[in-house]
Amino acid sequence: MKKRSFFGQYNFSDSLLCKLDPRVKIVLVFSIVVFLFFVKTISGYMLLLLFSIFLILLAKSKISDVFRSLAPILFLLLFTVLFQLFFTPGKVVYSFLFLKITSEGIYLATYIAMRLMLLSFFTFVLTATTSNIELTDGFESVISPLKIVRFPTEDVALMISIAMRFVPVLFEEATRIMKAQTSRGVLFNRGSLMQRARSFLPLLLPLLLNAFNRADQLAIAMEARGFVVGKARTKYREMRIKKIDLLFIFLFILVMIASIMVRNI
Amino acid sequence: MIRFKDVSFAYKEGKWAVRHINFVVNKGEFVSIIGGNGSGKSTIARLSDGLLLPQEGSVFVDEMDSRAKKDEFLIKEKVGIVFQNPDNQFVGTTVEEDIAFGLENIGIERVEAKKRIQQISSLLGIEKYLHDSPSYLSGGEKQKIAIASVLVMQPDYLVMDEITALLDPVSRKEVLNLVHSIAENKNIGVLYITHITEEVINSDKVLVLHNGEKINEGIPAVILQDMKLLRSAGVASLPSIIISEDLRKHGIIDTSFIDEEGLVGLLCSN
Repeated sequence: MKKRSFFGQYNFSDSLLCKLDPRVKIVLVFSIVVFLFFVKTISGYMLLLLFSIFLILLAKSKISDVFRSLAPILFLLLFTVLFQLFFTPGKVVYSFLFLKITSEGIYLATYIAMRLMLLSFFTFVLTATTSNIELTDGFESVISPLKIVRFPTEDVALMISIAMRFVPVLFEEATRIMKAQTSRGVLFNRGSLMQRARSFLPLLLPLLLNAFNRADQLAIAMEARGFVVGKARTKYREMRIKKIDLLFIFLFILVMIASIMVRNI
Repeated sequence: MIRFKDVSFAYKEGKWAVRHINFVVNKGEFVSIIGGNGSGKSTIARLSDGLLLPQEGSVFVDEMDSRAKKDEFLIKEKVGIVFQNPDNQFVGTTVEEDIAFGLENIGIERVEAKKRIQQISSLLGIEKYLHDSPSYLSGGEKQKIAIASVLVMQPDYLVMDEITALLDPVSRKEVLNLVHSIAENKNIGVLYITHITEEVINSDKVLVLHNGEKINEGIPAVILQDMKLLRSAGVASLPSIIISEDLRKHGIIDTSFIDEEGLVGLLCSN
């Protein structure tokens, strides 16, 4: 059966990035995302863009898939870019009615668009090359020092893993309920914004009730398979940092330093 | 053995879901429970591995009382339970991870877990799905994975709570045959819960439930011939029994058959 991908676009491949330790990938992507806020030049961003494209190609992903990953943030991207473009004070280069485009606005809009796109590209690389369970295992390991303050890291990681597993299930269920309600005369795509919002109630209520029911049954099934909250469990999956991980850590650091240095050229 | 000793349980005070239930499932024995909706079948399933605790009477698993806090975990290791909807039982994002979940809970180390997963997936013919998401498999395949996830913990008893209710007839037969072969080959005691009469034919013993009470217990050959009993329990009689009874009334044959082959054989020889 064909695998469908939702926000986790992971597909099994023999790419080099798939073989990296998930903890290394999580830390590196998180670091570079935070780092994006410290890069102050467009040329620095261009360097990071080239690096992200290199990683995407290394991940054996399609560029079309990468742009599709921008869809969820497209509205945010457009809104931010337009806002910066028209409402940044400075030297006016073009005006139409009350709208004024300034050179500072163009600079800021490009700057923010690049930042959001890079943020999306790097997280795409992470999710395209790491399975959900690797992500949660990696996440659990990364936050494991919090155990010192009695933070339930294992339970939180399991919770995230289950939530991820239920995304396609709930998505399918929503489609099924939607079809059932459509056949009974509910129109999801017609009417004013208010009417459309109201028409989603017959979808959301059964979906919510079913989700609670599923959660209840899952809890029983987990308990039946010996799961006890807070009880120590063994780990089936093994994580080991290899030479290739160290190489990528070095590469990321190098690119980050270079993108800062570019500013000074 | 799993032993129900005068067990009663109510979800709401004064409204018994099951009442005065007594029965035994021995290792290697295949015991079926049949009954209509609301007869208390699923409650018995949950009582048998300590997910629910009886309000009256006791449930023993190898002489461990399900109410004894110290044995709670051991009972869950000994009694594996598979539910009706496999989609609501999966924890892992891949089949392999899901099968490993129970092993992680009972403290099985990686090397041993890998060996067990390999063995069980080969036994159930699911090796090719190990790296797939369980969400996108067929109903029969999903139920096999749910069975594997429980079986890998090497329980002494298996409780199957209407595991074929959501399957098509072909998958239903396949899963049922699989359960019978596991019970025979691994000497596991099976408590098989269903509302489909055909599924209890090859059981060692059948319990009939109605409104939370056991109304009869016996071997399938006797229980399934009692159309009145089955009707009162809200389950259908076997087509071979219905036809046999009609033919008997017309004096064409003088015995009833629970298996279609026997009836067809007799009619053809006549």
